[in-house]
Amino acid sequence: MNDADTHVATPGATTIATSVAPVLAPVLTIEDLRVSYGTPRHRMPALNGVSLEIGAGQTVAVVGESGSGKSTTAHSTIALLPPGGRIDHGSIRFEGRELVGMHDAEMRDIRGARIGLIPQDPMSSLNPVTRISVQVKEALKVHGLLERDRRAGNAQAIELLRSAGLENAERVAAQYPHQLSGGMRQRVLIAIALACRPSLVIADEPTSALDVTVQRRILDHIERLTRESGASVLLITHDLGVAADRADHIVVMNHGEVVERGTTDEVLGSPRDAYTRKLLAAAPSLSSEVLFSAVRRPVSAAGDSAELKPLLSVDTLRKTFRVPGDDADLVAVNDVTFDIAHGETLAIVGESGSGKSTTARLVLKLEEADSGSIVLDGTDISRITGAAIRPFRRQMQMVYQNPYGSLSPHLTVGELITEPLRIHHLASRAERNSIASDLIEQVSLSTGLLDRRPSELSGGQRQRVAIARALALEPQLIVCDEAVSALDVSVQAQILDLLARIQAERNVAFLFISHDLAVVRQIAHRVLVMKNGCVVEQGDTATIFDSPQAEYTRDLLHAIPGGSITAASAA
Amino acid sequence: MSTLQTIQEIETSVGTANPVATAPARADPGAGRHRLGQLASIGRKPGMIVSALVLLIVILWAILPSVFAPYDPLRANVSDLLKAPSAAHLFGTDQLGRDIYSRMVFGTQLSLVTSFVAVAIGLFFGSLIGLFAGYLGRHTDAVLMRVVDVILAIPMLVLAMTIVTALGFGSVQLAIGVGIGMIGSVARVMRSEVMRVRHSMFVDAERSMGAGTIYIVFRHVLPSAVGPVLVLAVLDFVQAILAIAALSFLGFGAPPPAPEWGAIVSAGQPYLSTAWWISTLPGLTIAVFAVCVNRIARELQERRTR
Amino acid sequence: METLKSVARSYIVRRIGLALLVMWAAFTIVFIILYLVPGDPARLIAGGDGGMTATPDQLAEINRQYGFDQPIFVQYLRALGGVLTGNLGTSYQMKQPVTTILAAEFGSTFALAMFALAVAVIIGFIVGSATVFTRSRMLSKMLDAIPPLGASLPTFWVGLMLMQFFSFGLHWFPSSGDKGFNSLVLPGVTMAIAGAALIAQVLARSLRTSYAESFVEIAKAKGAGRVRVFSAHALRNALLPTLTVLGIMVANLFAYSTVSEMIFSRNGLGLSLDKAVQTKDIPMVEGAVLIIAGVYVVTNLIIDLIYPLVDPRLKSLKRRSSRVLSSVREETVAV
Repeated sequence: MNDADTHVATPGATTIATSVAPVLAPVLTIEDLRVSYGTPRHRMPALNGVSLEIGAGQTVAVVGESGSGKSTTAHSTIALLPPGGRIDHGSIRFEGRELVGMHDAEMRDIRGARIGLIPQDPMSSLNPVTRISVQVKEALKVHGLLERDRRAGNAQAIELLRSAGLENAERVAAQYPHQLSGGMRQRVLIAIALACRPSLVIADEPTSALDVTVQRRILDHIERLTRESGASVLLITHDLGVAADRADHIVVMNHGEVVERGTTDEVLGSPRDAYTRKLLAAAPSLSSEVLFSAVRRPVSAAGDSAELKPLLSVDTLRKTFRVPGDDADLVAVNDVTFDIAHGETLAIVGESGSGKSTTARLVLKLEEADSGSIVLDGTDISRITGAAIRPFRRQMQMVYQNPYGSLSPHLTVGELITEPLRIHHLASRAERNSIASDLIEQVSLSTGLLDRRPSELSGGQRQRVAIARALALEPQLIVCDEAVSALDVSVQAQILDLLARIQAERNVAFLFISHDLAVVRQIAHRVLVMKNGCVVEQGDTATIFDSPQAEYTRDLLHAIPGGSITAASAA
Repeated sequence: MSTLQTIQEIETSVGTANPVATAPARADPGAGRHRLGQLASIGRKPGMIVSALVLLIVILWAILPSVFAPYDPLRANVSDLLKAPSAAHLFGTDQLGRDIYSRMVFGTQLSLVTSFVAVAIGLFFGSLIGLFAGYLGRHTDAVLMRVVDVILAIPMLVLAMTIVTALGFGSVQLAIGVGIGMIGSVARVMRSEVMRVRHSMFVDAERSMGAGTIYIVFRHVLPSAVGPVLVLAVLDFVQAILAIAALSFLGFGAPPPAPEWGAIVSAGQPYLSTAWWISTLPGLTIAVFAVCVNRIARELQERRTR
Repeated sequence: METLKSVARSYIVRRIGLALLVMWAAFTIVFIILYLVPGDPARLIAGGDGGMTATPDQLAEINRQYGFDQPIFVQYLRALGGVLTGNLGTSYQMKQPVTTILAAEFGSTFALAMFALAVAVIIGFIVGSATVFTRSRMLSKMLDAIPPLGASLPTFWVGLMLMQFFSFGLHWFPSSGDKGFNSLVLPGVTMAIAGAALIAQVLARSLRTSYAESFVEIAKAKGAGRVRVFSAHALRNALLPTLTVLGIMVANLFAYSTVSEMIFSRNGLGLSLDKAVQTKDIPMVEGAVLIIAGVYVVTNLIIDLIYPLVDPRLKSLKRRSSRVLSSVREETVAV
């Protein structure tokens, strides 16, 4: 499967070539930074001596998983640590001035004016009750850069919005945040961050909440604007691919410490630290190892495939929703047709609003389709409703995206795992206990966790519990709705391994819903691409990735960050 | 006072508004072992110790008044008219020479039981309405919530006075009136809890596993909703104490000379400038008790949020 | 713009319709409750020693005059018709139209309630804001402990204590009467304390919620100062839940005028209701309850109309606006 490497464009390659330029006087120097959280008595260290340096005009990416301290590093720099956070030691020098211990009034002159912040979550980062123009102008006003004249001030705001890539800048300026999409809100926030032409921009996971194609455009735009103004960028990201594509230097963090730093091609090409290597190996990219076993694929089994009836056959499935305040109904799922064979993984990929999750819910009969048929193992279940559907649910189980919300908080792990058996009256209490022990071992967790409650588990552990629960009824189909999206890459890799192993052992079929093409490539036999409720194309994974037919699929593939990881490791 | 219905709703719901959001990003593997530590942490809160102690004493007053009260609450004593507080008469004596402290102790039972009945009425009917409205949704919800709107439109105190007009004066009547006045806020909290749980992902997961409605209600919805509703019940108990005391202050409670908290305070009003203690000390007792129960309710709530 | 106007109009019409529905239901419930009254209303009206001395002829005459000889449903329709035309019946005790009596009393109680509202809002906003705004942990903790205390004090006792200190002790304010501004102060403050506690609690809580939002961090990252972050961002977003609380508070102030007016011997709606309940003057009770329910309904109607001005998210609603709004309100209650 290593032929995939050659098919991926390598947009980052040029960046790497130019990044070896000599470092001028650094804009930001962080030395031995130690930060802790908690109450005055109980301190939990978050950073244990972090040092890094950003040269003028450079982009430095800080990469790490959750809890690595990457965001804390960013927030220390603008002295906006969350409540309970405190810098215990170290120095942050910015443009020749020491920021640690600086008076708040002085710090305010730097924030916004000299250092801009592009936040993580565009949806909640704009004040919902004031107009966009007011919020953009505020960034200028607090630093005395806003024109006194009302009209001139508005023109400034509109100009900023336009240069952030908003085409309808006049209209956007007069609107409120709830009237804008996530991508547009992020552009507004970029306009705010760059309003005073800062020399350093901190981008804290600026695009992780956005779809890949939007992510790509936004990152392109940040890159262009900062390059034009000569600003340095501190890019905080969990995504090695993003770092690889965008940064001159990469700093890898783990547990509050910098484990590795260097130019992008040094770090990616010849990682010295074990953690970096692990992170690189776990990061799904278009060159990652394929996990599913091809042998299991029924279509590739020699002979008459006509005899092998599909496990699930979905035909012209359709679902419309009534949108409050809109006259036209929203067609969420528009004549979707697909089959899943026994033991096969079909992935449905698409961006938000593509209808992929709704399709999954229709198949599971959690929502009723308007029309179309769903044939499960020879029975059309699309017209079966109410209590009559319950026996069929034994055949198909679900693993949800959010490992925190999908487990009842008041049940123990043991009760959670055997809950499906209880619902279907399938086993006595004693039997359930032994089944629970079996299942928890199958998902590689210790039986000691059986008495714990979900709140005591980590995200990865919870997702394993959810998988064990899905296995309890020995279903033939498991629907995974973004089941690994909320997890850190290393945990994600483990869960994907687990799913592949389960499939090999039990011949269970997966309907795998995901926005992440790199993950899909690792796990799916076949791929179905959706956009705006319609199927764009479907086919074998290799075919889709190697020779996509639809323009949209090519866009999606092109937008996946991390092309340069391939380039660097190939170099 | 029923003005506080909303704060109770707000406060109780706050605790549970979003369990996902309050869940730590990284789970603390030792969280389960902290339960003993939590109990011990009460020891570090002097306010809680005092509150629990006050609650205990007042409950003992209610159960065993004759043990705590040195005098007969009804017996007048002409030689002890309007005596200021002293070792012999902790709260002083009233215009008939009755020991005010003993009257408070003997009034406890009636006042607590009346408030308790009121809360029970509000809790029972409110929970029922909230459960049906929240789980059945749609038209049932719309109709039941309009009913709740109407109950809320008539303030608790006024509703109780209306009912007292109809059923006559007396403690049971007060309890019924205040209880009905509480239905609205309980129903709202129960409804929003039930809706939250019903729309939660874990209930969706239960459905996907094949669980039926009744199973989900009893195994998941009720256990999750009970917590906040019980916190509300404790907060409502404070409000019931205050409302019933106010109504008995206005003279709608048990007929004199029966000791009742609000009525004892009321009896002192004409002597406010000459014998300050008659109103002041019983009122202070009610206030201290209300503050302490309130404190306990808040502690319970904080515990739930954690 | 045309559509926006019609949207606004249909929104207002809907809210008014709903308000009328609540009023009608409140009237009906109160009517039903009050008809449970045991005993013969004619005897109550005849007066004297519970009407014992009244002759059967006199009683029959009263029954005919007041319509008690009619079936209950007819009496209900007549009462409802009366309410619609502003006629709340005749007081059993005063033998005057209830509308006339209560209209005369309403002004005094309205002034008292508005004064109490102003005091509650001012104190509540100061305490609630200061709790969150202060940098001192100590001060914040102390301020945080005040509202639960205020909410647990019995209103009637507060009234008596204020009277004791400020009338009998310091002679600053009169202990009774309803003449002039000075007479408003003590009864008004008595009623305001619980309200102030409520506002302070809700405001502090909503402010904390606002402060935890990312947009506040962005405001700080722009370089905005503490005052600007507080007023332009945190406070503006905390107003909606506080407004919701006011909707419930105002009617409760009227309800607690019963206590306050009795303690401070002020004439007004509360004292009338109090007397009416004591004497089983049913038309008076019904009238007073209806007026207080009306205060609740009107206050909430006004607040419903203010909501979209405070939060523009409520402005862009088209159809089913009232349902979306009520869900927003549920959310604010759940904040």
